[in-house]
Amino acid sequence: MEAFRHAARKALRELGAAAPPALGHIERANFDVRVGGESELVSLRAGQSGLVSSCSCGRAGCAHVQVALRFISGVAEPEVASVAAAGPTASEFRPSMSAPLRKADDGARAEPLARPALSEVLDDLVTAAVRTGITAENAVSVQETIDRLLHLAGTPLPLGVGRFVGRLRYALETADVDLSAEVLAAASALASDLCASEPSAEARARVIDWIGAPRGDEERVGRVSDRIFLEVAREWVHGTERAQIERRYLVDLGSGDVYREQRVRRARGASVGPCPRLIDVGLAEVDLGIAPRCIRLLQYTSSLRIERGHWDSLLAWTERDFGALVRSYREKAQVFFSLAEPFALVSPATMSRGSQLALVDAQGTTLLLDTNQDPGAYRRFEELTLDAVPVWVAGRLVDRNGHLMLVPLSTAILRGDKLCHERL
Amino acid sequence: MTEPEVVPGQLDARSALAKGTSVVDAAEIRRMLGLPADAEDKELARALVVRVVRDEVAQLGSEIAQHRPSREQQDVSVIVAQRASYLARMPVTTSAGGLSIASLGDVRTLLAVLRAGALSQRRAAVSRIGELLTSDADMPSPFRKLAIDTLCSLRRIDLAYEVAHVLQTLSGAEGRAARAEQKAWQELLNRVEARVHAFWDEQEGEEPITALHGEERAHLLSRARDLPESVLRHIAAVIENTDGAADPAQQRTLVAAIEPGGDPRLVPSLRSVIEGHDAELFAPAVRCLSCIGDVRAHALLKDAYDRSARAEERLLLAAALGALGDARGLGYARETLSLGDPALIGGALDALAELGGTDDVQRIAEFLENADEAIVRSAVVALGRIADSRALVPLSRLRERARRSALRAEIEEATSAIHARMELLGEEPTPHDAASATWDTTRHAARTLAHSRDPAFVRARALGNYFLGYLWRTLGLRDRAIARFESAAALRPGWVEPVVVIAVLRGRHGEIAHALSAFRRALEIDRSYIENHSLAITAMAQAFLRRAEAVDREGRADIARGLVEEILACDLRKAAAGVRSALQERSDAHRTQAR
Repeated sequence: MEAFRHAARKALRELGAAAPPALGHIERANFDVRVGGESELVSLRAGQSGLVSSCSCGRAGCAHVQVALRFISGVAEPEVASVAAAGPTASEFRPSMSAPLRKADDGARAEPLARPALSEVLDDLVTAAVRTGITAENAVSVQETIDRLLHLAGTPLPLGVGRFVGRLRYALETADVDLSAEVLAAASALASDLCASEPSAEARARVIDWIGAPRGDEERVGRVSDRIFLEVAREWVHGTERAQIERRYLVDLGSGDVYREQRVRRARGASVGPCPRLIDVGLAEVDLGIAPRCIRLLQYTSSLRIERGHWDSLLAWTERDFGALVRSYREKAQVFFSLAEPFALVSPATMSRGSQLALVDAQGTTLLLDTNQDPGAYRRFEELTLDAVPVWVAGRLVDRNGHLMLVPLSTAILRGDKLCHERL
Repeated sequence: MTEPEVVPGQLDARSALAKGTSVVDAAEIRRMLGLPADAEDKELARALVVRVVRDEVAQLGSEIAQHRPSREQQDVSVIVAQRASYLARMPVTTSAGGLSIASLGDVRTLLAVLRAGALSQRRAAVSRIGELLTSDADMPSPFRKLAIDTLCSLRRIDLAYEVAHVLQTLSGAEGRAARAEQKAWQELLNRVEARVHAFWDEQEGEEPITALHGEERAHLLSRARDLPESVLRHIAAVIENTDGAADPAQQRTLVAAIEPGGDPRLVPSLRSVIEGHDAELFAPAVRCLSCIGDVRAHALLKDAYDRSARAEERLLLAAALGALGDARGLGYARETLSLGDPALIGGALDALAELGGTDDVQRIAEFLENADEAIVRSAVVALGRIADSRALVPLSRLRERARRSALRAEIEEATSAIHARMELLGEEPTPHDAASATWDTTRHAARTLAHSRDPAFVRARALGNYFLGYLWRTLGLRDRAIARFESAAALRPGWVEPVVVIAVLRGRHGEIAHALSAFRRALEIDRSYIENHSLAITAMAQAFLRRAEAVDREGRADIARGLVEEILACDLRKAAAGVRSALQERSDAHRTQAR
């Protein structure tokens, strides 16, 4: 620690000659602290009642927090080499929203994955599937290759791999040639990406989306802080099991950026709170993968109180040009294939009620509502919008038979002067 | 990844991928994709999938795509229960001006629906009664008193929401009591809401709703549909296991507690339970969905049923679907009951309570003698829900020997439901002795059928009974004749002729109300036989017309209209023209009156 301070004083001296002294105060400090070979993120915030500390290991008063506090306060290091970390008690372990959560279930791994082996099995998978054909029943070679992939990807299985396998299995079971092609094309791209010595930005994004990003890797993980998010939609998508992956879509009310927070069903490792909710994010990590980027909330509070002003802020970020959606979707699909599962928050000008419901923008471009993935949700949406055009609709974009469609996940309808949000 | 140059070819990339390169001309595909003839399989595979994707994506939003039909909408149609009962099909509302619960004007009819209808119909009946109590100044005071007394004495928690809202609008002691209860509920809600906010503000660590006493919790959640968004979202978080505090037992307690409330806002959370197949929560979540009149509930339950392999689950889902009017689980429930697995009988009876029809009464009634009291109770409930008059005899016999007052109460409820249903259908109970004799006859025949291994023998016996019936009829011994025909019908359940003869016999003897019951049974067995048989369809139409006229004279216009609508739903082309014309006139008159 003394070396750190020494370096800081030196840097200040170098700055001091060139710039006038700056006045201000520290509200929050974040530290990467390594104890016993394990690196954690510690956040210290000056609150009204004193200093509030939190650590990504999830334990209150842990060794990492102690090291950070000693640094801040200038207290000398103890003589023992390491401090035993306090274990959680039952009363401590409700995942406090002001304390970061455990990272165990977010796919971060201790050992690096065997990339060349993964690349090879992906190539084998594509070759086997193409040789056998998508409409073939009981393609043993394909199933065996999938099993090899799962074995290589290890435990805990990265969510991206689980989702990939889930979509491929679904595509093969339903003999969906288009979806199969998208998933296999993604596999081909990943096979190259995993072995690339100088991967492009797209290649890096694909790999991050698929196997996650190591904690602390600044090229692959970004940070956001002090934002207000609104969770607008939530769904469960197939992983290696049916409806295994819970996905929450969070909109940054300040920038309109959309993030997804994911967890395996019943696993810890995601924030607490219902949908919709307002989230005051103190600190979060973002994987620099494919949009909507995966996010892990490290320091946050969830609130059930969502004011009209928050909904109005959300409205400012809705997409009103459906032609732009199509173009954007096309671009992403050509680069990221099935790895891209874009989320859209749209405001239609009107609706069209032909054989299939569609949202229509001011230019007359239609966006069909998907009936396939959740027919019940589609019909509920149809009921809700019998007498009213929705203010906005949130959902995931898919393509089918040459049409871009929206899988509706939630909507907002104006009833009188009250904006009513409804999950579908 | 580089893409090879595109070369026009005969083979379609998409179909090559669909069929597989092992069965199509691989050389042709390589040429099509611009690959060298010796390109490896791996390279071929990569190029092919990328080509298919790029072709598909390029068409997005294009003119070509505009003309391609999108995938057909998945079928979420409901397989309507095949009961020949107009009541079973009477909608809650209709925009087409037809008969519906929301349009009924007779409080007596609505009270009968309250006792005999499906949950959605009962809820609609309570609401409609409320409308009439506040808007119909001409309602005779005995009817008004009867309606209010009935609502006050209703202890069904799944109707508590509607009942509370109706009683609150009344003047008098009942209205005051209801408003006082509403005030108490609001105070409870205020306390809970404050604790919910404190929970999410991290000032409290204990989940506030499962921390309530059971009675308070039931009281709060019986009016779930009136809960503010904040509390609902909190409940949703607990159900989805995203509140960070509740354990599985607390989750289960909460899901069970919200079951009667029927709030559609919780459907997405319940979906997460159903699709996640949480063992502890699955059953209460299914029951919850069956109480929610929401299109998503049906789609979810149907999907779960199609995927389910475990017998207990399939029966539970079959019952839930039956409650929503979907009869797809009927065959499975019947089959399970006949197999007689003790572990599954209860579930099968619960399913048949929602799905069963007159054909099931005999079989279900046998379980009234079961040693397991829980099974006896399930059988009683099932017979009450099916509400077929033939169950009156076995239920009355059970009541005579029942020792537990709880069981006697269930039997009374079931009997009341049967009488209510008969009232709605314009039927009347058969005199006890005759009904007993018929019941014993059919029971004996059913046992013969169950024990006999020779179908030819059973058919021969049925035919013998049938001819014997004709003999007794010729000799003027009507009751004996009917007993023989009932025996024939019991021995051959799919044989409609004996039942038609019973119906015609009763009709000719002026027992119109009893004839209706028999005609309905016949319709359930073989509708096309009746509709294509001129004598049968004419006799049936006449019976319905005469009964409609009779109940109309008694001031039961709703029931009369129901009878007319029911018979007009049949194919009457083979019926006598005079009867058809009279029925149509009556229908037109009813519609005019309704406007």
